[in-house]
Amino acid sequence: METSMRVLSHVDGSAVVSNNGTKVICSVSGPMEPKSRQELPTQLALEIIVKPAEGVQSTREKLMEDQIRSVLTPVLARYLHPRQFVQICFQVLEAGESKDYTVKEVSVGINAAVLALVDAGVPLLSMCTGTCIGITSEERRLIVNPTEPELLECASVHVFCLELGTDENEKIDVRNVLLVDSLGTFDESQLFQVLETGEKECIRLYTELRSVIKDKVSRDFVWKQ
Amino acid sequence: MNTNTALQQDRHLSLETRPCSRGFEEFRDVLINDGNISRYSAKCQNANTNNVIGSSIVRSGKTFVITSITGGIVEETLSANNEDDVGEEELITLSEGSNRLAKNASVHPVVEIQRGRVGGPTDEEMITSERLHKTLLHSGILKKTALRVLCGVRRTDENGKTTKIYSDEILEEERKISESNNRRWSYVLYAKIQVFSRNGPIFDLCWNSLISALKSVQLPRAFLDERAADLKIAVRTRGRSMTIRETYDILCDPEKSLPLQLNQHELGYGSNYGIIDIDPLAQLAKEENEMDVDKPTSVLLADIETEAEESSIYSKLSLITNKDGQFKSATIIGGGSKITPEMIKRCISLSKERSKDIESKI
Amino acid sequence: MSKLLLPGDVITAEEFRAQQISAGPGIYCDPVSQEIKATHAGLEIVTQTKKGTSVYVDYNSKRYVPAVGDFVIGLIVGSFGDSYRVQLSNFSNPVTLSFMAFPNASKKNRPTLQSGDLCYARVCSAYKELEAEIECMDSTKGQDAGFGHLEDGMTIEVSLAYARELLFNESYPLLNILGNLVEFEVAIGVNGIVWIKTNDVRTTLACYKSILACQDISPTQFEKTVKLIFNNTLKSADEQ
Repeated sequence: METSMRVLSHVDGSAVVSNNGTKVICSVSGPMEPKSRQELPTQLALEIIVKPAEGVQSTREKLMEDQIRSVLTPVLARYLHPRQFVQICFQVLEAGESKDYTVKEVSVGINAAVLALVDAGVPLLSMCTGTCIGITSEERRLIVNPTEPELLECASVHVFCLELGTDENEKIDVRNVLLVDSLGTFDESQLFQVLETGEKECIRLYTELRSVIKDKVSRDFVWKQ
Repeated sequence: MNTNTALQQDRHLSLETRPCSRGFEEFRDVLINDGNISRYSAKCQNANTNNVIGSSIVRSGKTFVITSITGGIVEETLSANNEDDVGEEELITLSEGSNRLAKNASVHPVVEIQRGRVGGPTDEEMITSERLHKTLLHSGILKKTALRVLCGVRRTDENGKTTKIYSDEILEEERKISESNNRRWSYVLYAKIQVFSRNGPIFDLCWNSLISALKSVQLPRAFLDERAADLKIAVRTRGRSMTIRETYDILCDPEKSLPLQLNQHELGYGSNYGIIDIDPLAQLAKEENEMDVDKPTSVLLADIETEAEESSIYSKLSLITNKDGQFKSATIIGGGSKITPEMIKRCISLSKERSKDIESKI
Repeated sequence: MSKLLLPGDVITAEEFRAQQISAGPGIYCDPVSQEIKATHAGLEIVTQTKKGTSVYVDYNSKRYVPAVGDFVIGLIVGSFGDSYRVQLSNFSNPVTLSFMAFPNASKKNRPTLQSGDLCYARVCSAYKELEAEIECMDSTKGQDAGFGHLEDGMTIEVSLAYARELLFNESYPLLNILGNLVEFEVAIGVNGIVWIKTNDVRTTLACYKSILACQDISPTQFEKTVKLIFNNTLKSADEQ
């Protein structure tokens, strides 16, 4: 996974993440003043916009927005900014998958969103990471983060997102499963395999994001070194 | 979230019931029939003017989901170099490689939630439509070959009497007539799904309704007029001679139809679940002897209904499976209570039973 | 360097358990579990005071969220009843500056700020549910405290951590280096706005560029960078 943070100058936070042929840029603005129809009296309102790599927004992007929203909403400390508003905008730079799939864009987008939210200083209760998994139709083999040709061979494709943090003893603490979205043909044992493999991969991504953020913080406080 | 609905929910749960007065793992009753909407329905009155070719009405609690399926025919674009006689199946494998989705087809659903106002589609309608489309495409329930038009020819004999001949109904030597053109058509299916008195998540209801409507679909037979079948007109423009081929007028047979072939063993039905923590502070005062009983901290609720449940449950599961546990879709959203493997296992076994029940009703 | 915290990190606090701790910015106490977590990515700063231990996360961001006592530079965007509406950062909720929050203010003696003016002020009330309020005087003493209208000059938008460093770290060398080269007035708002004014447009521009450039480099390089910018800016201006 390749990442860079604070790539845009006119928004509060931004990040680019690319992984195995999929590249997404995410920008975060806020907390700021909402339009009156977006305002929520007790919590932070969230607007999520996904723009596809080619063409204009369609129902496909609406579904991606909905999935990303369900992952990010529980992670944000929403009650710290009532009547405020955060806009999270995704532009897919390279889809890395055909229009019939969204797994790679969603999982890369979620990782980009977390980095951009951290960059923007929007309060978060936990971190989250996302990955995608495919199960091949012939050997029933799990492929973490498949490439486009591998994706076509899969009998089922899965997006997996985990809520993570660090506990008092500085051990990684898995807090909850935020999203599993599986399509295709699979059975119960495969679903649990996905949960297991996804958890390992998300923990790995978490340590990776941690070191990326560490670099960012040390660049932010360049005068403290 | 409205504090009142949350409190209402908590109080109900502490009494081991739900705002809709069902038990924790109790589903709503489901009624499914084809509603006599389709022109092929047994009691259809207006078969001549009706262009609905498959339908279903699903009633779950107070919610109705009405699906009507209409169709069209499109000409497939074939690559220019398939003049040589490559077998159909070979061709597909050649051009698509191992692309699994290339053999699958889907329908184009439009979901409308009736709530007494007009305007563009809401996000929920768009999202549900897209999910239905994607899930059906990935499921492999509907194959492209099932939507292929087996085209016939209409002949007019010397007495002016017309007959229609379909390639699969006639003898081998005559089959050539209808296959002489190397064009190919397929059916396109549209599903209009209307939801009345929405009272909870609708995706699984819409899915069940869509599947049962698809099961009732009859594809009308289509034919070409023999005179138009292979007509060439020589024309001369600006000194160059060329031939114009008559455009094919493909017509649907008002009488004959074939049932849509679905992959029966791939069929699955949907159900949804919510997981919610029981807030110990909201518990109503108990008899003293009940105090020490260890209560689970979170409970599983099947078939989310009422606004109180919908707005206070953030951990949700939506599963599509058949009775043997072959899944077509699984969506787990963990925005609230912790989702444990035991919870997922329990949902899976419930959804298998639910699927069995729905299957028996269709 | 102090310990790095990420959002969601539970704060190790053997020493915190026993005593009362005060949580500062970037720290969240879960109302149900009473767990103390970080909500931002930054450095953990723990200080012992007479009253107990205080802990906060020092993090960098661009969007300012008002907090009581902060010195800010705001843009007047309008007046409403007997108060101004002031913007502290673009697209954020505007804050209120009462006509009475000026030194020697009375019903008859109204301040003369207009829409589009800049003013230096202090945040006097900030609740997340309410619109924040700022004041242009020391309300505890009712005296003038150096706040008010900022005339002419130029504003620079910088990151919040950098603005805090410029304002609070007296040993931070940048302003001294600039002071050796040119005479200037400066006001620093922790909302990420620095206002600077010199007698000459060219030196103002050189200061602007220097302050922006020093945001991303280590203090040891300041002297060299600032000199280079001053030479280039003044020279190119002379050539024209």
